[in-house]
Amino acid sequence: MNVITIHPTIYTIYYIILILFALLFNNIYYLVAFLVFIVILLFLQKSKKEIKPTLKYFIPMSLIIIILNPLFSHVGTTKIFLMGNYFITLESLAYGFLMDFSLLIILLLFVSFNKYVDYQKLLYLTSNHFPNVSMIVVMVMRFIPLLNYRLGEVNKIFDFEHGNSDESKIDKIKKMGSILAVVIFWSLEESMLTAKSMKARGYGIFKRSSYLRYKINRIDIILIGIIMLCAIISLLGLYYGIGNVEIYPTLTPSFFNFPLDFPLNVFYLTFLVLLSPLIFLELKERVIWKLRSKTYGFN
Amino acid sequence: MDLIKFENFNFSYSPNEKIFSELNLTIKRGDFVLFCGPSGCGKTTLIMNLKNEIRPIGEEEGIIYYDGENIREIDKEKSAREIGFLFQNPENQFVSDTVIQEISFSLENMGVSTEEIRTRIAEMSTFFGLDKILYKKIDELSGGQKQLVNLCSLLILKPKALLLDEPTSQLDPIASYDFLAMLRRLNEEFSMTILMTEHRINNVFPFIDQAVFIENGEIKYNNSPQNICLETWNNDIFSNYLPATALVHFLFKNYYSFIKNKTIPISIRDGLNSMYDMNEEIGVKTDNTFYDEYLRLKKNENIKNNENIEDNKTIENNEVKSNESNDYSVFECKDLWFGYEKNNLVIKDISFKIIKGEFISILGGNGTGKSTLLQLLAKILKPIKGKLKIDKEIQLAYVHQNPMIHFRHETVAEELKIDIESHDKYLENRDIDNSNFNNNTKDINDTNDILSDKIKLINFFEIETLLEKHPYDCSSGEQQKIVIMKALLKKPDILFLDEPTKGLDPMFKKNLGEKFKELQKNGLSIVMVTHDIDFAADYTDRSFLIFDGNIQVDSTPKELFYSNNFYTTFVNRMVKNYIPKCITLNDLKKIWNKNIEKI
Repeated sequence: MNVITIHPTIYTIYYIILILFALLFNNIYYLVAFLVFIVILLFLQKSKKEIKPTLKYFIPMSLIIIILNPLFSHVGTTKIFLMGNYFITLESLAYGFLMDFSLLIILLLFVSFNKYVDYQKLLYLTSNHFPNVSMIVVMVMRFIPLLNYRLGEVNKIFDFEHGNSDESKIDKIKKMGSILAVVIFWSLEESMLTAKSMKARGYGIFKRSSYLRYKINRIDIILIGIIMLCAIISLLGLYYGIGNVEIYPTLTPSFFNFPLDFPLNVFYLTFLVLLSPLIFLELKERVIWKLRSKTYGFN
Repeated sequence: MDLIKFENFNFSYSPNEKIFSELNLTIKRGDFVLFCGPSGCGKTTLIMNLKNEIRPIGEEEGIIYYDGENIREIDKEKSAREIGFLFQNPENQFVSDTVIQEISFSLENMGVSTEEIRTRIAEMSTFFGLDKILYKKIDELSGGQKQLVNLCSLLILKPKALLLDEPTSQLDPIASYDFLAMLRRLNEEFSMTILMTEHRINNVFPFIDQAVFIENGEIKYNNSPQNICLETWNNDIFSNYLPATALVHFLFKNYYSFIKNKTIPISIRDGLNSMYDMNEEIGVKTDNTFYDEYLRLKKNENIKNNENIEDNKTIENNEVKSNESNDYSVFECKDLWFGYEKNNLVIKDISFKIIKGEFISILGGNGTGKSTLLQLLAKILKPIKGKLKIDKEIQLAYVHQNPMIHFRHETVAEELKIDIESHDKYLENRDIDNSNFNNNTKDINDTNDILSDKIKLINFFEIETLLEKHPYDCSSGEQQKIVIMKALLKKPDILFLDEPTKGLDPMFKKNLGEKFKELQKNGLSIVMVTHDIDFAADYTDRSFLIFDGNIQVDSTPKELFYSNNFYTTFVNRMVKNYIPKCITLNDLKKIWNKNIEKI
């Protein structure tokens, strides 16, 4: 657990802004900075485990996008080669590539967001305004492992009673069907009791409240101030066309231009500032613990 | 001072079957009341009627007063806040996935502010000792912890009355003791009125104020624990609901006149004191200690037996011979190892043999791998290392601890593969057969034999009335019976049972034990995982104590229990200082039988 705690609402606002920006900005330098930032953050969050499945899902999808976008989108003027009746254009290739980039960033942002805002905090966010929805979410979270356990046990009993050695595929499907039927009937039956227990404890008499509580601290206000300021400046830049490159209909050489000129680099720097607060906080967290272990000699 | 009052209360599910008629009962504020009776006697229906939200649907007449008001007219909020109801199965009552969420559920329903919820959780969870596990997932908890969380979730509303429906029937002895100790604290420290139904009453009796014995919807006895013992100790049904200490007391009372006016011991403490007194008295009268008396009587018994032995010798010889021929192992396992993860082995190096016709009980605390071991033996799980040696002809049958798993048909009859029509026809035929002495052809006889076996079993398990019901509509005790019968229909050689006595009433438990004994004689081996020490002591030949994934003790129940201090039967705990080798009431009855002279 981190000592520096930030209100889940702030996290949510920040990540929503980041995700929007990942879609709005398609300048290659912006996106690269974005990716570098998110990788550093994930590294600081120690979320190697969570990245793996995301990448597994991302790689085939990114290939599909890179291949399919040029095949279906024939807008663009720079033709590369002919395929069937259509030209594959440089623009659509570049567009697919940038889309991939954004997608990767968004996926990684979600990983990082989950690390900060676990389901308890998410519940807190929804329970004030949608108490019943959050109740359903909670019940589902309880139900999934239960269902899993039941499926396992019923499966064991089926195998025991019928033997599982020489079965054709149709038999197996039939068996699976009846296992599912047993599990579902059983679960429905038991959930009657859950419903009774809910009623007995007064569910549905009043509007529900929630036990979850997070305080808004000074750091939250500072953080949201910085984020808002940077976001507005960056959007202003976007309004002037900085950070976004027109790809269609023709890719201009400005695509590769680094935004170094005076008005540009201010916007770019603000963007970098917008990306950095969480990295800064993570580093600060480490410093605090490092100092602690020095004073008390632990670890 | 009355909190709850039933006045001429009638209740029926359908016009034809009345559950209660003209029931009158008053319960005082702050009393701990225990409701006992055979399964299906209506005790659950009775306490369910006190909770508007979940009261059973049916016809009712008469009035139940709660706190001077008609209970049907009290405010929804009052009912939810003041009357808490705890169900039998700890698993199904959970709504959410973490402990803190579950505890706060009731308060959230009441719309209590976040600050107050947190303050109350802080207080209650500390009181219950749950503060360390607040953020744990529900499915990581043990059964005892689960039931405590459920109780905590009710108590956070500060109820005045608690209704509990067999709350400890799914828990192991230690966990259920903890749970009951908590109830006692609530009753004593907050004067909470508690109404509870229970089959295992030894731990409950010492601190109840009133016991209500119900049979067929009628209150047969309703009195303080002392008096109810006096009233019912000779009753066939209800003597099963008396604490072991009282039963031992009444047994000795027959033989020793000096006990006559002594108070009946209800708790183990009283029981030990009364044994001490008896020891003194016997010392005065006969110069013997209690143990000497026991030895003397045992000797007498043996001499008497020896006189009879000559008559029995031929029979016994035969028995010995048949035993020898049966005395081979039908099942053998060698160094079984099992675990779901490498770092967490559940079963470590277990090997043993099962001899034909043996009844083995596997005992041990929660989470020691008993159920896993049973599934390994029944070949449901595959061991990581080790071997099972079983002949191919040997049939195995297995009963899971949750009977619901075994059901997949619409009616009980289908579940047991019984054709109701042919069942009825058979019964008719049999009546005709009996009157006319007509012999049918052989084919019909054969099918009838199978049917008659089934019908015998049905009659034995007392489930004739359930045949057309859906298995899910049966009570948990009835479900247990159906599942055991279903397993027996396979005509197994080895029967594996996972907590078969859970939720069964003591009368039926006795019958089941006798039935198992009978089946054993026909060569059935039974392996049973159980928390029920008394059942294991009464009926099994061999007991395993599982500890740390291994068989710690492998001996007869007698040997196992008499060396234990806490994990043993109540009879043994009471008489242990004087006659350590007596484990069950029957052991005592064998010595203090009708033949001895009274003092």
